[in-house]
Amino acid sequence: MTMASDPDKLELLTAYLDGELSEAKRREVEGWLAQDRSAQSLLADLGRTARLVSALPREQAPRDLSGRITVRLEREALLGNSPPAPRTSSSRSRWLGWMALAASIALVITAGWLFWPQSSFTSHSEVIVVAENEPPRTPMRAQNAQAAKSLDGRLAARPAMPAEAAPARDRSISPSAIGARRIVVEADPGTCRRIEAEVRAFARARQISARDQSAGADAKMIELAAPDLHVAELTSLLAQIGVPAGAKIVTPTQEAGGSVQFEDLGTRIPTDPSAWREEKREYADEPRTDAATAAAAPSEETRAQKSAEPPGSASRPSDPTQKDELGGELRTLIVEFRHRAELKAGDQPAGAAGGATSSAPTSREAGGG
Amino acid sequence: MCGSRQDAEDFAQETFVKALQSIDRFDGRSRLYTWLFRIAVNLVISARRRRFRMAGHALDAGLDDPPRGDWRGLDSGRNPAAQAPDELAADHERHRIVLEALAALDKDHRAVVVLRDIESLDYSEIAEILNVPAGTVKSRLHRARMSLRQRLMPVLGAT
Repeated sequence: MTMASDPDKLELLTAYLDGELSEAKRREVEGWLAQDRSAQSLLADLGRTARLVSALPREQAPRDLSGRITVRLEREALLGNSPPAPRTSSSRSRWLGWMALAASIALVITAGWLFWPQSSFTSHSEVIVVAENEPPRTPMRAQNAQAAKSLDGRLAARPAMPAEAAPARDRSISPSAIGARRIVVEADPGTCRRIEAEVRAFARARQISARDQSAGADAKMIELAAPDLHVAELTSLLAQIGVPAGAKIVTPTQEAGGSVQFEDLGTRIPTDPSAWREEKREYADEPRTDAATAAAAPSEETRAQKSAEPPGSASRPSDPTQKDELGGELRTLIVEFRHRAELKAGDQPAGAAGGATSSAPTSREAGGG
Repeated sequence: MCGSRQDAEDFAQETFVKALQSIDRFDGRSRLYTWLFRIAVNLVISARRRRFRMAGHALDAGLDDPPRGDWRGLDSGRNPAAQAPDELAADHERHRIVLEALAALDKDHRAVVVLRDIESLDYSEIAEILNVPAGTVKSRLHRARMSLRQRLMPVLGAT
């Protein structure tokens, strides 16, 4: 049977291409293709057509989208125009999860097609600051008043934490936290309170919902419903707040099997800002896992065709402009860390500079040099 | 589908507001994304009807206007800095041709192409979003791709 004599049969090619046929139908189409070169040619054309569309550029969501939605919801709830957002504990966390999704999915419909944003850090949703074994050092604040201007007291000393407790942890990220940003501070209660106040002030100014998920007085975890907030913005904020000189900033990486490892971002910041981009790609440019695509189970030919595409068309790398902004903020942070490390070294006797904390300051010095 | 970036942003915001306000009605039988897309599609359809009533235009007017050259700032999905100028120009031209071909499709065909080839949804999800049988999705998608193929012949030869 030729293609022209059975137009309905042609639809099978599209379904075959999309992996939407039953096993029996798939075999039937493959048998047909083996004997009909024109069908092979049409299938190849349809595949190329689909790839051209799927390779169209994506638009990025406005960074303040989730904030705008929050404001809109709160305003309508206050005006009585709509039911208020759910307030129970479980539904609230679901609600916040939705807020995270809002910016992840972002602009739903644009001119001609629905598009998907490229959130560079959607899978890296936590920034952890661990302040450990930080001695009180008045001179640092006096000399570095600009960076520490909003921290209204010196960091108190606290017992040293086990070295293995800080740099790497294995936690799972709860579904409600996907896309959200978390700041975790492990320090003395006073430091926790101060950093929390600063982060909350920052959140209010940015109209970002913030909630406390702390487990204790000396372990503060604040979740910001702002998935479009770059990690670099948070690190910059923490630098302004006056993160303890002994702090580590780590970012999670998703490991095979679903476990989450946290790597020390500070140790990974290269000296040369131009090299940072490549280094940063390890964190920022993970391709989006598309469950729907995986579930569709494309045919061998589809997979082969997709593998032949240029890498950039599939991985949707982040906006270069944003990278430039991030680079600038991170460079500021590097300078900040380096300055603190130098001050710290100057405060202490020779040979003891790196001894008060774990390896993090040393690595930051290396990164900042 | 909307015709402009501003409309797209407004619809996106409205979609999530509606979704959050009616989250208790989400029963989990469909995927979250499917539910969101359905809300979005309904919003667009409602807006189209409103616009039709207010302006007395054809049903497809306005929201389905071809894109009006508002493509600046779109991320090509590749790092421009790593591309030679002639590659950049070729990419830009190819995208323009594909966008024009998409815009020339009727709204039903464009919707299935967008949901399948850009959003990677499967046929059953698309059927649920558009409230049509899965068989209709298959036939619309095939006709849409055949139409696109026809319009994209110059580009297809170069891929």
